[in-house]
Amino acid sequence: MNQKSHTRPEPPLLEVCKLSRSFKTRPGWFGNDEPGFAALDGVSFSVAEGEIFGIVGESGSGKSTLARCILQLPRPDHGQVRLEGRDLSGLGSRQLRQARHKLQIVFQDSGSSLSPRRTIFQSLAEPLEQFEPGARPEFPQRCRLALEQVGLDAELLPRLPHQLSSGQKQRVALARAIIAGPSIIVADEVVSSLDVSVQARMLELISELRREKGIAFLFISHDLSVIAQVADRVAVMYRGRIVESGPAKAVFGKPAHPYTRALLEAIPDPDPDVPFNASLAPDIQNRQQAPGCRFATRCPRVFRACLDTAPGDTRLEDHPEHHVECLLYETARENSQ
Amino acid sequence: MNRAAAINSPNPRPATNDPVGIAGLLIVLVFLLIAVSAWTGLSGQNWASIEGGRWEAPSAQYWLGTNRLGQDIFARAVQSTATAFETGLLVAVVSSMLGALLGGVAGWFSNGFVDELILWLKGVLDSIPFYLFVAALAFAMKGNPWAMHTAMILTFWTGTGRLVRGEVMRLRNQEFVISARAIGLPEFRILLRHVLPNTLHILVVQAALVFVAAIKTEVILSFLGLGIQDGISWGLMLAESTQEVLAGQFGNFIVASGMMFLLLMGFNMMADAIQDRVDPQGGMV
Amino acid sequence: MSGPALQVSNLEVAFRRGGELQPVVDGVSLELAAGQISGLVGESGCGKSVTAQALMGLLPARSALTSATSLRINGEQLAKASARQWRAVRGYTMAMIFQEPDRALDPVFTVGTQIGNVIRRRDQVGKTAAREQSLKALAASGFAQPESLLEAYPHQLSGGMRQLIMIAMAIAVRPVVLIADEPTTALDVTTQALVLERLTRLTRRYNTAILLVTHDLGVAARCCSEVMVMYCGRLVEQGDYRGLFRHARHPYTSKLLAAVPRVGAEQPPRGIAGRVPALSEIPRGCRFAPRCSRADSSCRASYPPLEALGSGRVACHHPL
Repeated sequence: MNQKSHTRPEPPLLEVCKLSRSFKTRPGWFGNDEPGFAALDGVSFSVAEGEIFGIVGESGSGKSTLARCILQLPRPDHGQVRLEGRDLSGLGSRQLRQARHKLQIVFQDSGSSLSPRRTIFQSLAEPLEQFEPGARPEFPQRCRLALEQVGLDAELLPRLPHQLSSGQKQRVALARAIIAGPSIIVADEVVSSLDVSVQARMLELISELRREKGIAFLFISHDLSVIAQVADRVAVMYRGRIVESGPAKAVFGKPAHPYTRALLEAIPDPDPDVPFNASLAPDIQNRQQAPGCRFATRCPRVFRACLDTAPGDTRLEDHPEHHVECLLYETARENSQ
Repeated sequence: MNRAAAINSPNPRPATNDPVGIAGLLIVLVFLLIAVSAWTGLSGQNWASIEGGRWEAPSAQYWLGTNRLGQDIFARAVQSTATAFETGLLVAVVSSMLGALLGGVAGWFSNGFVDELILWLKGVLDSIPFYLFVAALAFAMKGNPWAMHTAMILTFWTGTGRLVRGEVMRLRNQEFVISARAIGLPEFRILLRHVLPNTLHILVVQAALVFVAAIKTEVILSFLGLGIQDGISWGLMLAESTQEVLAGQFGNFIVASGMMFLLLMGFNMMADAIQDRVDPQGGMV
Repeated sequence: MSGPALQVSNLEVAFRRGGELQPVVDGVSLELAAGQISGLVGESGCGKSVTAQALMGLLPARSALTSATSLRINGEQLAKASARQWRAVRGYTMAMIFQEPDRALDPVFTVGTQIGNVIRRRDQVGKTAAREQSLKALAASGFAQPESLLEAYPHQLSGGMRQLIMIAMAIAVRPVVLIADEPTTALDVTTQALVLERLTRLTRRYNTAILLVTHDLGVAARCCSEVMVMYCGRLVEQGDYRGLFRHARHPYTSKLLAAVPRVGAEQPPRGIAGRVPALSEIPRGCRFAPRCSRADSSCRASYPPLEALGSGRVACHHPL
């Protein structure tokens, strides 16, 4: 399994182990109840201190559910989330609240990530009120410092969110996350709504925060080219499972899973001479869980066994940490043995 | 150079300074002044005393004449304005608060037991015929003068409650609310600090609508004898006028219905303008 | 028919804000050639979507003042068209698809009914004939089993499917001009690729001229023969995409290209310093001057006109 690749004695900063969460679909009007579908189905990985771990997947892959389940909002059905060795799913709500300042989240939508009727100062001071209520006189200074750290001017403090540009709002959201001194930030599509000119600077800022403050990031995005810029290691998700994972260079340089390949080929590169392929059929969003591989219905390299055999985790030869869940590689290995 | 031709018909409407809204505001302010003069005792204190003769014509003493019993119609109209405002404000404020609280709680715990209970309560209240409810309540409260207000508050919160519930359900999944949870704020604090303040625009508009509805209802109930018991109201004046109109005396009728019409129209004009203001989707595409 | 499918000169749009007029689009002139996809690229707030809506006559007069010295669609002058003339153009010679297909499709009608209505309105045919044509349009839009789709309601489909259905509706109209406003922004990359491929096919098959409005230079690279770069309400550069990518003439275009993150790129993307000026504080000279390293006093004094340079046109006093 993926998480066993760590051989260091101390536990990794964040360890996610066989996380599952399913949602009940609403009963239909005419009794055509659908069974609950698994948004997350046994997801495991770990993030080391100061590491940027990228999670990439299309809509419906479960990546946002993953972000929320890690924060226990909502709590997962099964599996553990361990932060510095401590199992969050076992904590009561009070202990969990205390544990949270180590684990922060930043969201995509700059429009709704800040409370619309509260000033930037009020928003920034809120985590401090929660975690360091005694330090109240220092709040203005701390907020100013946090804004500086994300490259913003302190004169923004008395403003309301709607008076800021979307890039500024995302920076404030990041400032709010770092102000309590977290060891890891879950960044859920934080640059997706930004223009490229602003996005690039936001990505620089994230790399800088990692470098200078040693903050680890779980960086979630649908955009492979963004992930490729910042992530040390990546996991590709498809319908609630990690289908491929490994160092970013290995996954993007030698993609193994047909889905990863299709994703990479479908990225429109600005260079018109970079090949581009639109071969993958659109997802029909069939929630029915077939016994075999969940990518089988769209896979260009599907063969008979894929329909009824679920692929297991296979380690690839190019890199010891490069894993894939695909029968193509299992059979290849069996044949060679 | 060619003159640029307009692609869409240039028919500008002044964006700011909504004149209708301002007119409405002025009308409401005049009525508010009248009500204040009654509350402070400046005028309208002699509304109950029988001073003049029957059906006196307007004069320097009785500006709007007198009624069948010889009471001053002007004083009664002034006092009725105060009654209308008292009813409208009390019902609007309390029912909005009730609606915000119950709607907020229902939305926050939506699809849970509390939500089911509040929705059930709302369903029950909405399905009782209103006048029957008032009559029953008046009977149950043994002629308590607040029976009418209680009935209105108990039934009028449902509209506000439904809207607030919907808005809270929407806000509950907004990212700033989840961020607040991620920081570890207690649920109740999130509801109070981040959710309810963002339903304020609904409350303002709903309170204005309830204000108008409450005054109308008060007039009708008073007319039917179910409303104001030991005071005076446009409804009671209208009830008196049913006997007077047959005798060719229109004083009570014109004054009471005219004032009610003006106030409600002014208030509606103002409410529309407020709604345009607080609705963020109002202006641009 | 000869000449461009759409030609507009000096398009100007100003929003009414509190009694004042704020120019959003300022003197944009462009042509769309039949059978080609032309890209209109730029960052949010540059006026590209407003331009698209103005070209469809969709901006409400009470909030925006739109004018142009000339707006010809399929040869017909529409600069002074009435609302009625516009209705005769939309859905016949012109069609539009939007970023969010959810808003464009009516949730209470089946897909079949909605495509059928478009066809019946356009071709004045009966229900059966409309059904036939709907099936054809869906098939042309890339659906393997169009019959099952006719009975589906929009909410039963994914966002990508809905966008493909919007394209099927556009195919059913067989418009001379199709305006696609960020049609793939809300979609996954794999679906986006499919949508772009369908759009390209549409131009080949019906000789439709498409204006593809996008913020994504990669999307433009995939299907546009020609692109126009917009900044702050003006066109700053225009030319064939390949040439523009290899040798951008306007400093803004060049910086925009450098800001795009790319898998396997040697260099990390570079952001553009400074910010887009607000509508109320647009500089007098070149609008990009405050963020441009090549700017000098002439740039701050006067706005450079869009002039021919090489194979394209560029609005810059000091082109690269």
